[in-house]
Amino acid sequence: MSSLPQIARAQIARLPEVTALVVTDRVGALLEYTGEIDGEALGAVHMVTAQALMRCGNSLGLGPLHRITISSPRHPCLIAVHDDDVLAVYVDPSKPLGAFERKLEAALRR
Amino acid sequence: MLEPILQTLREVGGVQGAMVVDASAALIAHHAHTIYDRSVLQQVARSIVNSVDSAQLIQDDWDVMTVHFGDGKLLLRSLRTSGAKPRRYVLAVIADTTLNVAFLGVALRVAATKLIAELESGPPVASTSSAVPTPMATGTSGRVSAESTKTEIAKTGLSWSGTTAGSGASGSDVEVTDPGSSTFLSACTKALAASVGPMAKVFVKEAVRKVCGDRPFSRADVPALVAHLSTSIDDLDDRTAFQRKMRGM
Repeated sequence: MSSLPQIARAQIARLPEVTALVVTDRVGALLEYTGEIDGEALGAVHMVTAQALMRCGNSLGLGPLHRITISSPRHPCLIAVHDDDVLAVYVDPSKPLGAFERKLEAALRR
Repeated sequence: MLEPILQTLREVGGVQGAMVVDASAALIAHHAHTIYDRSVLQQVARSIVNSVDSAQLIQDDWDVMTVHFGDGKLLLRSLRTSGAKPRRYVLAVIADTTLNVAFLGVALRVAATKLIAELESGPPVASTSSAVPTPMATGTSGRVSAESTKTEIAKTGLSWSGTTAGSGASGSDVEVTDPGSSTFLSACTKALAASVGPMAKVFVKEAVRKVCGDRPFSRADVPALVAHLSTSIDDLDDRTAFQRKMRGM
């Protein structure tokens, strides 16, 4: 079983930039969420987005999908694929997204 | 002419191709390495539109999506034309691992501005999208506090128990006229989930928005909603079972 739900709960959710997060498995089933969100519905949406982009990667020969960064004035979000599970993290828009990306990478690498 | 603008993007180190796609996944223009022929790019265009359509359910003000793969990157830039008939397009840039994303960001911004000007001045491009465009997000104006962000995401949390008008990121909150309508939507979602899984709630939200527009959902909208949702169930038996269940409510 993937360690992503544990990492998300114990480490990523505690980062000050994080406003909400959701973890789903490869078929979109909810594994973990924090924040005032509908984890099940948002998790399913993120999984559909990730799967469509995986198809893009396959068609273009770009290899496996690792991460998606969605820049948005109100709801910047990072989606990471880890051990076949998908983590989506919503970030405070007043915080720099690039710096948070590095923190997230470090947390997932541990 | 869109191609010369795409060509300037290809001059950025690591960029292997660039293309403009409309909301119906039609390839409007492209300039790419020969390994990416038109049929490959057309296939990619469909996947791009699928990914953008789903992402927009939550973040309809998205500006840029940077997608990191093991052997390269894909950058998607939202292009929204203004005027009497606003349209949505996506500029996609395919790159290898040597790409400097920050460097491309500048070129991407310049190219997007020029492309929008061309798309606004050119002949109308066929598009089947019914998406309502929003003003181009600049990403530089108005910072939002973490607290308000949490509230907005909560509103975006695809729940119809609240009765406030939609003002979340996706504008996807559903207003209902009475508790009975809210109960119906919950039961409807449960019935639909038997066929389509956890996306059911998203489909119901979208269907309510299409059927009711800005007004609150009421029991009078049930037949139109059920008819609309039935089209999202591919399996004929599942569709019949869903309709039967809804008639019994």
